[in-house]
Amino acid sequence: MFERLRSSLTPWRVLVALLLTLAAVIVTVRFAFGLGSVTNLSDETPWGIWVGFDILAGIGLAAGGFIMASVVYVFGIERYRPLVRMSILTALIGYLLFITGLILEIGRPWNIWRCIVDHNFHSPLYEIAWCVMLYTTVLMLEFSQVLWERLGWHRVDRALHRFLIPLVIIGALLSTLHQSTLGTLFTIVPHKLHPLWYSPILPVHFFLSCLAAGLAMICFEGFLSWRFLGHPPRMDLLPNLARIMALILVVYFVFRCEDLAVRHALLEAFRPGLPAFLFWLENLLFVIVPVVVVLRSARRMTTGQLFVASFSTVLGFIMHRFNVAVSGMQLIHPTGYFPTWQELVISMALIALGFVAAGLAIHYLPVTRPGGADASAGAGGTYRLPWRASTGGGSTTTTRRENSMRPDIGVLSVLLVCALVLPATAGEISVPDRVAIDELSNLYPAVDFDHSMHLEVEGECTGCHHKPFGNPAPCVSCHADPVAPSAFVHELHWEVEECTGCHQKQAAGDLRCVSCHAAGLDPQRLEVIGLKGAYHGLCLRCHGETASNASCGLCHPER
Amino acid sequence: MSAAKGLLIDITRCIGCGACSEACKTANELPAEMEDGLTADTWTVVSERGSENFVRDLCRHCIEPSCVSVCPVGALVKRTDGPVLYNKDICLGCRYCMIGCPFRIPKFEWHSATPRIRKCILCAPRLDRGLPPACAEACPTEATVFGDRDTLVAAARARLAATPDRYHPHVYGLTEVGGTSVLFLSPVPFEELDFDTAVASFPLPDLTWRLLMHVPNVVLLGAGFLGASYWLFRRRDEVAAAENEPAEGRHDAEAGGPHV
Repeated sequence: MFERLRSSLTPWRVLVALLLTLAAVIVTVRFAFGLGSVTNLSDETPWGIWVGFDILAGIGLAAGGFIMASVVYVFGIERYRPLVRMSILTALIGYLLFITGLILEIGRPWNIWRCIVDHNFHSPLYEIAWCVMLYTTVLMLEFSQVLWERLGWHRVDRALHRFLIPLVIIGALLSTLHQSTLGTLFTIVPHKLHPLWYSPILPVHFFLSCLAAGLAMICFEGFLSWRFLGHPPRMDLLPNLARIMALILVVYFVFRCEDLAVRHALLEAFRPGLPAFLFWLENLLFVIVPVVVVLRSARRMTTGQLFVASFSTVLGFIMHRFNVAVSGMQLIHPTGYFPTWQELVISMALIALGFVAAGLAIHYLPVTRPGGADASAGAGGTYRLPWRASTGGGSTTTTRRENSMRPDIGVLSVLLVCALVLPATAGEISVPDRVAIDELSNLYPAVDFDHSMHLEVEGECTGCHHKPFGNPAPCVSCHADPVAPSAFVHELHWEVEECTGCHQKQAAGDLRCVSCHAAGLDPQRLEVIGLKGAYHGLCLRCHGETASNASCGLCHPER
Repeated sequence: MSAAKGLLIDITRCIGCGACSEACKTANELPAEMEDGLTADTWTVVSERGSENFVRDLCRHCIEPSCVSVCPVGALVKRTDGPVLYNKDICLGCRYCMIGCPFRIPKFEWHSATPRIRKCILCAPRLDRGLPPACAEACPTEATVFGDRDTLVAAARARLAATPDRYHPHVYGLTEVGGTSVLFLSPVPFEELDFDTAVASFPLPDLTWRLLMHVPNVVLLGAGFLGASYWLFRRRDEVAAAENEPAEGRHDAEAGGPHV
């Protein structure tokens, strides 16, 4: 008994057990005494590492699930089928950890179900809440195949199989939505987030980057399961994913620089200082290192190169999310936030929990097997297309396709959509095609202005607009708002005329203050101060101009 | 509901006595201890900025509030008569309102096991009883006055026109973030008093809405694209299978379902 216990006590397991115990204590303190008792969060820094790392980065890194499921099931690129189950498992664990992290992070977690009954369609977070709820369900269904297979419930497995394609498509749609909407979260704070990270089309940045991060995570996991579980990485498949990842990263980086240039923020990246340093460190890790490694690897990629490229991308991706959620805000409004050790322990514990869950799942469930209802029949590297699963035979076509390069057309078409359609959408969001000039439509008919044509002629926004692109400013923001109703200067008239010459009431002999200085706000005499203000104004004229040297007690005795 | 109400705060008239802050504490039954800045227990403060300029800080009760727009469950609502109000019973505590607020107003009870978002409520319960907000009632110099927002805008403009030397020619809150219920007049440019003059002059919720409104498009286009891709690739494989091995291919196609 003791012998068995001792042999199972590896240093890693002890470390994980300690970490989880410590985390449990911190969680107890957090729920008993509030978020302030274990975090450095404050009114100045409402979101910290738990949002930046556990939530934003965590969800992005779990994007591999929907990417691989779409690649294999929708685009029919059968070669990658051996990676699907593992990616879906990672995604499922990622989302479950995210939900765990969220329950710790939000102040009133017992209300978390409220999203279902209380709606706010204008809130990006509402959309994310729904997508995450639904997508986690989809992931569970997708992954449950493994469970049915393990239990030998083939009928359930086959029934589920019939809905697999719609499930995968729904999963991909939900992922596209909430992965990008995580970026939309920050579009509402244009002046609180540093211009190197802010963009009115942040969702596009978030979507493109999560594609790369999801692929990076799959490659990185291949390496991890090799180190920790002894499964050799699929070096026939992973290098290709790394190449696609590099391509997406290039598209992402070009897109991001274009976006910065359009908003006149690109120069910020070359102005020495902390913002530029963070920007380049982030992009060095996220884009430059992996792309260079992948390019240098040429035809044969070593496991080392695969590890460096994917790990660097993962790190850079985490840094991007953290920069948007925390650092980018600090650069504008420094609050000196740095996570407490408890915040760090919880984040590490979540990662450890992920490892434990993945380890258990791989140990007890047929995760590393290729998948498909009758995958066992396809031993030896031939895998069925899902719509063939219920029929026997028919492996010839799939074998043929595995040897051809054609399947990459599917992946390329996804990339093409990213590269072409998304920037086009972005342009449509930011620059109106036509503008109705109708401010004076009570005097003149509204003008239907061809904005695009003028932009083409003028070449740049600032040809007509004062303020840079992305900050539309109505004329009144520069041309002072008080359009003077009259230029009457009272003092001037007072010198040449007696009061009663103008003021009717005084002429009638009513010289009480209140006849001019109304007790409330008199809509007829808005420029005249009210009664209370007039009285106190008289006091203060002699008794000091500020409260510190005026004495209220002179007139108002203490009660 | 009556017309939209608001506050006009004339910094040239404020003497920094702090009566507004005290009255706020009493009216809202907050702990009496006065703090330097806004906190969960202090909803308005007066602080000296620049030389002898006293500036009040409080919720601006935006006409199109970011906090209301970002709250996933609608725990924050904008009442038609002005106040932006909070409902703790449905709040998740996600604090997105604090991130979203352009003026950094909402505060959180960091050391509570059942934390709430706290901020000025424009004395909504007093408004319901036909009373002005406590701060406006307490102000000795009428630096803070309460009224219909339209009237206040007219008053601000009238003051600017009557005594232009006294004021910086701008009403802060008239166009900022699309307009706020709390308006400010200042003797000096607002940036000298630490006002954020870089805020957009349109309602910030527009920024998220013009993205979120594309959700149905993304769903429809995405579903179309993925569905079509699936159909195409499947069709291609079926054709390839039929060409390669006629007998088996036909068998597959029959079992495969309606898409032949």
